[in-house]
Amino acid sequence: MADDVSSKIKRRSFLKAGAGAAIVGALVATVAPLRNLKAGSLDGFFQQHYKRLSVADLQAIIARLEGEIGRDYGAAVSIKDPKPKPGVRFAYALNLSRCNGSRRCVTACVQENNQSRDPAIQYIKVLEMPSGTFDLEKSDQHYDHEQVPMDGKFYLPVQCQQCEDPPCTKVCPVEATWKEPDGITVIDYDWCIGCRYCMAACPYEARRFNFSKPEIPTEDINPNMGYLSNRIRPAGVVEKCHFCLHRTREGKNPACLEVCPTGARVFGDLNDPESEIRYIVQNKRTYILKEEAGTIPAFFYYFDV
Amino acid sequence: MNGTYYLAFLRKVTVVASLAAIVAGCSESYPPKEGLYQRQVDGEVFDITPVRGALKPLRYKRGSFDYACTECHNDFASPRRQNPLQGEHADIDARFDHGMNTYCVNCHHQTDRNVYVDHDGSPIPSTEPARLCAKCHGPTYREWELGIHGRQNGSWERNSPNRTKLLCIQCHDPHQPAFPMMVPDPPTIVTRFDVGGAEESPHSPANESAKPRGETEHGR
Repeated sequence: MADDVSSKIKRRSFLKAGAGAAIVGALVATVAPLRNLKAGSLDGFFQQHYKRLSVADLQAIIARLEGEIGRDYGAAVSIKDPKPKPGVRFAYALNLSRCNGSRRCVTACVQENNQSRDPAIQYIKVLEMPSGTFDLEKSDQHYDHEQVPMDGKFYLPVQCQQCEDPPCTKVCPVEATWKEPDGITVIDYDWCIGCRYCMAACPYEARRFNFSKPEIPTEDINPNMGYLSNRIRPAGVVEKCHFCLHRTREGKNPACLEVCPTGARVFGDLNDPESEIRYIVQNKRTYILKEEAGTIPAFFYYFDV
Repeated sequence: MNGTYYLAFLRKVTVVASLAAIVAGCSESYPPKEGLYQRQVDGEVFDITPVRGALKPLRYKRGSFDYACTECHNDFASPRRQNPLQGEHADIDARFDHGMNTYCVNCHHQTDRNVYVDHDGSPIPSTEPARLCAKCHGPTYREWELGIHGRQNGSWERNSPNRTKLLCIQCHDPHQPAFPMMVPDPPTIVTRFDVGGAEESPHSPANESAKPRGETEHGR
């Protein structure tokens, strides 16, 4: 019988080996996502937080990202990282008497900011509200009329309000989102872990989550990208309106303003006493959404007719 | 060979092989930038054409014909009031809706039809329609001058040379100045839940609209 035992696998060694194999299998399964990483993504995996990057680091990362987008989407793009202008404080005003709910801002935002077309991500929600109330629960963002504006309705576009005291940045467990000196709340897309706490914290539902890799036709990709703004986001991260910072920090207007057919939108520097936005805040009866939340938005709405 | 050693050996091989596979998977390189699609972006990637297009001079156009107003109005007498409009301008009469402002010569010059007219009868060139509209719409004109009414393209910086202002008649039809109804861009309906089998999805637009909004929009 002793011969039989030595020639066969013992029960103990079999179990040990099985347990060992299970542990190895679990380890391999744990790091399996690493195997899906492509070119240079090992660099991306070990990439530091945006605020800890040196200029040279950032340049290397940008070169890598441009290459990755070229490989994945087949488009030649250039990524910049414009810094906030000193002394500038961005704010937005929207004239609800003028807005006619045409959703041109939504479309332009998608085109400018390389948002996923399928599944569709849009930063701006145009809420159709019954006249005479400001109850957001009575709003309809899925309206699909032949013609707008409808009688007895007004239209309330909602996007990131760029709060003075943003709740979203406080709940981020990894500090992947923060407020810049010019008032824009930004996200480090490579540092975000996709926990979506910020989405839960935002009273304005301004944040969007990339459930899958963004799908954008190559010919629709906007090649002028910003590192903290409209570069194509990876799957599994949160994104939101950033006042088109790659445009506005270079003096241009946000895309939603540029296309507004009714001229309902005014954008500018709140610190400049001669600016249009300042005139509106001082002379129009502006108000902010969900004032009771204490977030102090930099997005002012008003009626003037 | 002893089975235990064999399995231990196998285990080591598995670990080494999977690590090697991981490293191999990561070390693939991306192609250089040549040969990629280069999108031509001269202005913007979105359309900033105003509702009524570029500012056009005051001319009479029908099909391929394009006349200066004076080509007819120098020959024919221009009646001070002709109501209803007949002949060549009958189409204006059909859509005309400018409140109590129903006299052609409130805006058009009595003798020189290529220009507009000011209160004192002096001409306003057709390149400056805002001066004409300001005759009646003072508050709106002041807000337009301030940059509050209408769209300013180009830049938010006050002193930027790129800044452009739309003129009144690039958005408003002077014969029918109320802002026109527009076809809205389509709403977002493609969500994670809608991909494939949109009809059956609880978040498809048909099912969404059947429910009260507050319940489907997470309290909004």
